[in-house]
Amino acid sequence: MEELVQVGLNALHDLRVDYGEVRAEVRTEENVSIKNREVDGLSRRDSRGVGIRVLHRGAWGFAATGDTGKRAIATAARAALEIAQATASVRKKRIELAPEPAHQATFVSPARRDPLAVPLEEKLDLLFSCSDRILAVPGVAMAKGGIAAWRVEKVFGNTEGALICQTLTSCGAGIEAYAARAGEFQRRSYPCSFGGDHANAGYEFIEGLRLLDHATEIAEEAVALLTAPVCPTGTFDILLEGSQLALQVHESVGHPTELDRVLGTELSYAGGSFLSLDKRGAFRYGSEIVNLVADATVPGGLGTFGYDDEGVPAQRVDLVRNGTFVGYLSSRDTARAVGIRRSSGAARASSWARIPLVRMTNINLLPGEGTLEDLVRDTKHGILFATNKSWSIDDRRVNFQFGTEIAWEIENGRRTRVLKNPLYTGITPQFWGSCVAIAGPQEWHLWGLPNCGKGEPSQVMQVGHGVAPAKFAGVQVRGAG
Amino acid sequence: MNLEALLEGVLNKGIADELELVAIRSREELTRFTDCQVHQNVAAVDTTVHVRAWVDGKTGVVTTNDLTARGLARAAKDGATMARAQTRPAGYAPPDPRPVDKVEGWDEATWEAAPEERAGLVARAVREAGALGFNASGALATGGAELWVRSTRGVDVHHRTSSVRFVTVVLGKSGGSGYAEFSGTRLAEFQPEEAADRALAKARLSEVRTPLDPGEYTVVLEEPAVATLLGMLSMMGFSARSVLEKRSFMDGKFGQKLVSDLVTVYDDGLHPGTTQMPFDFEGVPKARVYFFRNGVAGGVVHDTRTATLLQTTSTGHALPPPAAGWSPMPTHLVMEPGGSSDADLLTEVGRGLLVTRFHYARPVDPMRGVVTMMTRDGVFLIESGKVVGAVEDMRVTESGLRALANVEAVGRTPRLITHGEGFGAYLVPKVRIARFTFTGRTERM
Repeated sequence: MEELVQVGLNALHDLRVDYGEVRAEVRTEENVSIKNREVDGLSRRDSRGVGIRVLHRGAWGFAATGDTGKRAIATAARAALEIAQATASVRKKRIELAPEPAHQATFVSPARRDPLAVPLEEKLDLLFSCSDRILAVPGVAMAKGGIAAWRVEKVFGNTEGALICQTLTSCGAGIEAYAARAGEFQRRSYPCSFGGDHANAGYEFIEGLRLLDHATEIAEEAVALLTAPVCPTGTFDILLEGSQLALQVHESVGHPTELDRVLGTELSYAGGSFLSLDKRGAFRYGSEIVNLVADATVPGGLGTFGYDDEGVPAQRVDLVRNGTFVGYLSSRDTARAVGIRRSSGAARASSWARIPLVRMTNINLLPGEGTLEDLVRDTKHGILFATNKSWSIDDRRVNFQFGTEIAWEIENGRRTRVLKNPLYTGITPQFWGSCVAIAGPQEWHLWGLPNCGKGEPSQVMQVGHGVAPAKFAGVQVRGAG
Repeated sequence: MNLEALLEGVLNKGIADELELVAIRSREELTRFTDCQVHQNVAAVDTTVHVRAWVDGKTGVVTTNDLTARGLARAAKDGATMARAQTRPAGYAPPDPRPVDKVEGWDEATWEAAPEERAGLVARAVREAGALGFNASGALATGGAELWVRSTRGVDVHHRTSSVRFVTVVLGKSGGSGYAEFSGTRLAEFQPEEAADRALAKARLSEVRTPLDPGEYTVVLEEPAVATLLGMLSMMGFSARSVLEKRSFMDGKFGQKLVSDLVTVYDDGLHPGTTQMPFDFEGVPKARVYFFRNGVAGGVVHDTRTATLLQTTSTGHALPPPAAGWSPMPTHLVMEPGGSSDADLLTEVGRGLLVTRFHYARPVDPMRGVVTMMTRDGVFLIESGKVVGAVEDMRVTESGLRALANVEAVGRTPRLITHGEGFGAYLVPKVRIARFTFTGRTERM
């Protein structure tokens, strides 16, 4: 692929662009899913191509081609320049880039057992074994499971002299149990919902999930939910288990700290952000114990890499420090636009056919102390929410509502009865301001979300969220149905 | 070698018991703008081929954009290997060929639109907003897709469609917000000033907003809001997959009156008002499927797999092969227009809300059709049949079924709404709904 990048760079030099970058990628994905005792989907996707971005006379142009022949790459380079020229003809502000050294480097994410080389028979056997255990529980209506694996090999080069080769290998898995009766349908998932947990790792990550050990437990919980009382309505102290808190971080911290949203470039689609530029360094985002970082260096995260898709090294940057909002996720152009010295290294493209956008890396809530059970013991009257079922937040990332698959009532420091259809709602800074406890490092887990959508044309990105369960005081709660 | 010859070549190699090939040639060119100037301008061309191989009744899918004879053959062989890795047959077989209608949705000028042309149209769209100091954001996308479905059983169909989609959000200095969109197959029909003016008028009207207490209100939903509501119901309950999995609100209710008799909703890929698509990704012709006919629950959409399981016929609603877990799905939802003008819809409202569109809709309780979502880009207070001002955005948590049961009037003029990219669209009118439930509101900060 280095050769393809060199073909593109040579074309850009010949075209005398002000700045240009070429990204060649080969992507292989495999998805295995089962339903009950049948294969529901078995597919592999191979895609290769080259994306070329040009900054010319202060305007961007981008063209991509799935044809990796020399002529097609040269054509794409010319198209990118022509698009930049068309953009420049109507621009008012000139786009400039925050400076970045030209890195030459190689990065390979560790994977002990290649997940794409694991025989399909082995994956299917694991999923069917889980399905058998789930279906053995009386009252269960359906079992599902899935394993996903993918690898991205990419080479980035730019006209400043950068040349970076990266290979990222990822995988994940999850299982689901469904129970149904007339007019009602309940689901329990492990280790989390919507496809399970994922990491930049080899198949050893999936083996470590111990799916089979949890199959019976989620099946029994799904059945129990059918006869459980609906979550009560009122104001409660609530506890969020890890995967639900990960999504809370994603929606109410990750997205609003994306600097392109703040600058308005996502307004017509994903929306904007309440974190206007005047709030940096001054805005009370949460309580004193709330510390959030964007860390693309933490091992195993879906948001971990060596360099972003602008050739900027992976970094750890503070977003919220002791409850105060202090930093954004940024790219080279957005950082420069607001006077930030260097990009935070968060420009990521979902494929060779897409431009880099400001995306989350691993947005992590730093741990406090103690265990989830300590948080439960310290709660006189509250509700523990687990495993996301629904999520919604407004276009400025202020008003949110989340539902989980299951909740437990907490009375006098003990989990009591199961509650179904629980919802909680809030206003982002008020909610994080009500954070009264965060469990410690022993409970901290880096969750992998493979499906974060953003941008036009749409891009789906893989991101990570490291969290330990946490407690929030005085939150509005209700039950659906 | 051209694509059709490549497809023919791999079909004839005898690599598997049966092969299905779905080839999609796509061209995506998009100009995005904010603060009244272009900030993103992109173009991507690609052709992908989904190869579904069948061996002993088992199936595997490989997708590739390696358009060499060797690349396609390798994909087919790998698909066959995936099929052999399974122990149980899939329980259905690929469809036999059926005749499909020819529809015209192709416009060369839209497929070929140059970045200069899009930039010029965007400049026209933002001119008025910019002159008034408003921030116009949005995107203008042109291009389209060409689709071939071929199989060893003799399926051999082809369709191509050009597409144009424009969206704009106009923001005022005080947070007022307005939205408008245009969707179609011909760029020449796009009038940038018309769409921009609609969004700008809403933004001006919503510069001053008052907070409103959550509760039940009569609402007039504009077309994008109606499309979102129907889209959520579609996702939760209009497919045979959801019925088979016992998670559809339609399950066991067919033939029963579920919603207002003013409501007729169906899927029709051949409706001339939508972006037509004559067949699905299995090459099966698209049939009109009624979900609600004068309020009575009708049917659900099928692909070959669900049709086999339920011993019926595919309605032509298969998604591309890798999306097996979501297939079948409606793609061309139509709500029959009623007899009300825009003024009629407002006139009967004593106190209510006019909603432009919804944001971030998600299911809460699929069996009851309950969804949650936020209003966005203009919510207006109606008093005594007239719009009297704007209110802050509010959260809705409501059953789509209950909402459709409470429909009081249906607009007479449908509008084409697309939700993102790809095949398909919604052709829907405005509606008036009684007792629509708002459960919260957002805050400005």
